[in-house]
Amino acid sequence: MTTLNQMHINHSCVFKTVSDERIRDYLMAHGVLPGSPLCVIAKIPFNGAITCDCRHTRLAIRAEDAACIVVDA
Amino acid sequence: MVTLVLWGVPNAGKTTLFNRLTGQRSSVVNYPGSTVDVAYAPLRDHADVMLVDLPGVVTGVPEDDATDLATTALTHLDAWVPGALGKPSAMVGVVDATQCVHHVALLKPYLDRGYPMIIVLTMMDEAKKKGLRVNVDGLADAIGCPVFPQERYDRPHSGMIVALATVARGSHAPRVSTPITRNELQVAHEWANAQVAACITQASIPPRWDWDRFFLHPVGGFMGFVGGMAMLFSLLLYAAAPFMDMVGALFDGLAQWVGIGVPPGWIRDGLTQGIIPGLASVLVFVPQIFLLFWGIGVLESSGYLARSAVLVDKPLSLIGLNGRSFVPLLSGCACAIPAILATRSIPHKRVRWLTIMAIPLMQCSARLPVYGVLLAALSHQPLVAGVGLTGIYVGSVMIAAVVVALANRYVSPSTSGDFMIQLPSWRMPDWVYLVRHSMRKTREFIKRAGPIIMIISVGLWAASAINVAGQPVMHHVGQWMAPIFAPMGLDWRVGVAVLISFAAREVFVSALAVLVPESVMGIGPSILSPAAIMGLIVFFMVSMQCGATVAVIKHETQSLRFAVALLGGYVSLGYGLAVLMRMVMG
Repeated sequence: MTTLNQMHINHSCVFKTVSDERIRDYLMAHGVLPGSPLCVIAKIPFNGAITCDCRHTRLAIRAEDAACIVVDA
Repeated sequence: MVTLVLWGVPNAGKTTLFNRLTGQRSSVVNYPGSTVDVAYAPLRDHADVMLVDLPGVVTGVPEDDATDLATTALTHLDAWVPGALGKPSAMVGVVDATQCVHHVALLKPYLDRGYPMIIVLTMMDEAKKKGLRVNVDGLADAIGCPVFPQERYDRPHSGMIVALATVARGSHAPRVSTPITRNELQVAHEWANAQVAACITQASIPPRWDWDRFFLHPVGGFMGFVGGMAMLFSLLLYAAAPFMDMVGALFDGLAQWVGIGVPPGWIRDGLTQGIIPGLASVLVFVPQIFLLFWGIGVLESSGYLARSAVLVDKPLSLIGLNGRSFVPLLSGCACAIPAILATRSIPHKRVRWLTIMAIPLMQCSARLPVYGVLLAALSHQPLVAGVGLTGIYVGSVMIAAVVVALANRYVSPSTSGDFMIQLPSWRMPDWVYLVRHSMRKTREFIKRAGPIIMIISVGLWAASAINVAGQPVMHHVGQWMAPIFAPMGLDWRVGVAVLISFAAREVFVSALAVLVPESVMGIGPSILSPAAIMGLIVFFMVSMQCGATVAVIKHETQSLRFAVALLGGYVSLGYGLAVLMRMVMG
């Protein structure tokens, strides 16, 4: 199982599922549904936020929260 | 009265559209969640139709105070708009054309509930730059309501305004509005992915440089952040200086003209020893205050603020804040009141309260004149003033970090909540809007401070000129209060100026100009020692001397105890640190 925080910069993946309901609601509101492509754009050092693109939406998520997001690498 | 509400996700362009459709000048910021209150104005050319701008709503489920306010306004609009019915007559669905699919999906549940709606596609120019082509007619057919495209700088099409007025007059929102469920949103997204996505085509465009590769880079991002902040404060120090000299020369000329042109007597004395030096001492800092608003405006409108929030989220999370606290904290460098209102977009109550606690420690524009005078008293070297002002801003951030960390550790230990934010597209600031916006903010500062300065300057001059028992009234008052300020090493006249600054911080400078006329040429060691000046600077950095800030904190937290505790705590801490500073520095 790969989570979003394990992805490297410029690597793409597909969103599978998320265990936290708040994060699921937030992602869904921004059009990130299971099967959506994600591409990691930037990672702030020392376990800071991860920035990723989903189609034309750019989202930043704290690394701890990104650890709940399961992706297909 | 018929009402139209602007409805959509944060940063979809609702406030820009509101300004275009009504001729208003509400603040526009390229950051999600910048609108935190209800604004309303008549629709252009249709005075009977009231257009209402609401905070953006992300999921349709209340999660922060701004979202909660928007959702409540949808059923109790009469609480905000006098003469309106509880529910709006119709909705204007504001959809960012670059994120059309999921923005329309979020409007679908309202369409299904029968809300009369017109959709406005904003940011069409940005969609074109990204190679997106939206089939507007096809989209209108798919959604089942009129759709109008709108470019950022264009005036709204007259057909759109007429259509908005017509739909508002001819329809009424449904009486029952059941809460939107997660399942309903899931279905709406699936529908939008099939129906709305079919109306959008992606043309191939040449690759463009992505600024986030630098501004969110592990090294470049932090270099950019420090560089950006350094540039902002360099503007205050160096770019403002020639303009400040011009304002100073203007008031010098005015004082000379009054001295020659007005016959001797109390009117001339009141003008030359009270009002003119009092006003001049504060208004000379207007160019600096204008540049502060302008610099923050550039950061706000470019989209950099959201990137800054991403960069500083981790360090802020260590003291119980989170990335969303950054924008209110930076706004606090201009004025604490809108900064405290901006915390409404922070979803976690505890993080919001901690952010509110830190905001009074940010150095607002009213403090700039005070620091200008006190730093000049330490040295006339521009380098010393530059290092001093940088030290004040850095020091205040450190004090705020310690205070918040202690509150987070001992008063209310908890985590800093989650942090997720949508990064807006980078945009070239609208320079004309920025200049107008900064001028409006500066005018507000002058309007607020001007009358207080005039009244206090005249009052102080009168109290200094009228004698009782062989001494001026002010002398008696000052001597009575002297023991309070003696531990800070303050001359009684400076003590009076400090006390008066509780009416408004900037009044300290004008009061000093009236009470200590020689301070216009710079405070000498005969009045204040360097240690006392340093202590006074620390006092102003920490002490909460703004009644309006206390009132807003009370209103936003619904806790008089919290507001009073902050007031008492910060004044005591400022006083204690000032005394300590004087003792340590001798």
